Amino acid sequence: MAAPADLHTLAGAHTLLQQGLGELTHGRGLTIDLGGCGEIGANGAAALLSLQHTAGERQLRFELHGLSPAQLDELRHLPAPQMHGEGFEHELSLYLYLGSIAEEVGEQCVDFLSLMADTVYWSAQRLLQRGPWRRGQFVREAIAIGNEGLPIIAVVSLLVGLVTAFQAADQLRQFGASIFIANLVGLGVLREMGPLITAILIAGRSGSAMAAELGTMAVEEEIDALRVMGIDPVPYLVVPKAFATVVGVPALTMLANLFGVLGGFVIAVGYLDLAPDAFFAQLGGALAPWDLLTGMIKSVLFAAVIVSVGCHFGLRLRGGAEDVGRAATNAVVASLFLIILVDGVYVTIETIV
Amino acid sequence: MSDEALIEATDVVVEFGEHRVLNGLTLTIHAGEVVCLIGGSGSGKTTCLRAMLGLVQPASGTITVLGVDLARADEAAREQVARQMGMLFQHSALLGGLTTEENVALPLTQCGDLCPEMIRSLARTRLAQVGLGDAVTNYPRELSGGMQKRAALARAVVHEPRLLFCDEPSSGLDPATVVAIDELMLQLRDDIGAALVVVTHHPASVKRIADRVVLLRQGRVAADGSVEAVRALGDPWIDGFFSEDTAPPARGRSVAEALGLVPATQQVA
Repeated sequence: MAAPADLHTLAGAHTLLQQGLGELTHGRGLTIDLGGCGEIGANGAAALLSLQHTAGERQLRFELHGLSPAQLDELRHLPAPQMHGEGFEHELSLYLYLGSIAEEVGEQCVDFLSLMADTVYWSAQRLLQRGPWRRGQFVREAIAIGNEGLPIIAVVSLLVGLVTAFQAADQLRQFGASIFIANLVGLGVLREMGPLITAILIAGRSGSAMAAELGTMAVEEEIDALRVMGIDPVPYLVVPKAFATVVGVPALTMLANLFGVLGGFVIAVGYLDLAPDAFFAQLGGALAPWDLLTGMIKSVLFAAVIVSVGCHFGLRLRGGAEDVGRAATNAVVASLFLIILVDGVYVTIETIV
Repeated sequence: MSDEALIEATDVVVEFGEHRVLNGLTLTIHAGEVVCLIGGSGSGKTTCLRAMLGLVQPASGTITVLGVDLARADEAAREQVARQMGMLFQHSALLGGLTTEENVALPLTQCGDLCPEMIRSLARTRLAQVGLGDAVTNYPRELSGGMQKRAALARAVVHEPRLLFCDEPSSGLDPATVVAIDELMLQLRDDIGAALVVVTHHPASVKRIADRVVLLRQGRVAADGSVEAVRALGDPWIDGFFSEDTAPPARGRSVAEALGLVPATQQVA
């Protein structure tokens, strides 16, 4: 053969020789005569190395005969791959695997808490000092969060209000307690559904966008460029996003509350035949200022979670373009988990206290 | 060029997980000189730059930049050093949300005592110097690769650093633009008197700009000297690098060695 053998021919020959090696007993060996061959090629070299490796494992001789000077020169210029160790024989034990996961989770937690502390510190600095900061960026981020979130939050909150009221309507009517639909929708939306729906939607839209934006900047070395210029990425990039989210999410929560209650009102009037005045009178009696305030406190906590998680996964990113998508997905999953966790902890503390 | 040492790296070891990238690197960079770092892929060139910039922390060894030990310095001292360094990144790393002028002005905003008008004037002057006087309001995405490199170079030198690092300034550029970038780097070096540390794979660039060539191999310095001196060493990799038309021989062990056809050779240190 003047040219290297094609992959299929080579694979066939390799399989036959491997089978032959398998049948040989200790002390015997394989001799390949390359005298009739021309170029060996990278694939040919790989096949020879593989056979040599198998022969070595079985303690068999392996010899090459009839090599021309050109073939030898070709093999001298081909870098040899690693035939031992990782990728061939290395199997990760369960303990090492669990240990590596624990190490990764530990590092993530330390990084996350460190970023939160940095963000709080720099946010306080920006609020207390009169130094220049990126007000324009804050406004742009806040408008982006509001513009992106407003229509979807309005529609979803209205639907949730409608569905919640619908589900309860027949039950309440059976007991002649239709009027209490106002209590159910009002308390449910203001204390729980409004903040939660807003946070989930903003985590999906803006949280993932933050992770993708900062992740892309990290991949493109823009974050490193900032550090080289003596600019800390936290006050420069994260703080405007933190301010925008902490202002934007509670504002959108108010909107979600409004549309959620509107959904309940539609069912109360349209399905349960309640008078609008009666609905609002009942709603006013059922709600206390604390119900609104507790929802707002939750929304601020959720906003802090969204911005911290989104920025954490973005700034931490190492790798290439495909990792940007993974960072955005991870940011959403982690945000949703933490939002539910924070909600649960908050409600527990509120109930106990 | 003077004998003043701006960077002194001693026995630097940098590891990523179990992979040791810099393995006892010792290197000194003097004021005003142009040092080209060459070596095969994975030899530690970019990591060496990043360690000198303080972007990666060595596992052991010391790096003293402008008299400050980066590992032991406090935040204020490190910031002081950062203000005297400039970096041209391989992919320019211009901030996509800022215009060319805003990008170039960014290092000046950290100087503190410059008024916005002065910052604007300095940024525009540097942009004009690199031939981008008409592109001040353009965003990076609106510029070609060569223009982005020029803008990034303007950003790297606008605050007149004493140390300028360039990571593969010629990558992805046509030969004419490579020459233009090289000349621009030398012009700016002469203008601000900075020492240049350049990672490059272009032999023509090395011949054009280097006062000193440092060959890195397996994370340590394998050769160090003028272009003529390192070429005279007879190292096969260096010969292959400078001959331009022949590929450097295989790094590490060859297949012939692995198959036992030739005796294992010792790498030139």
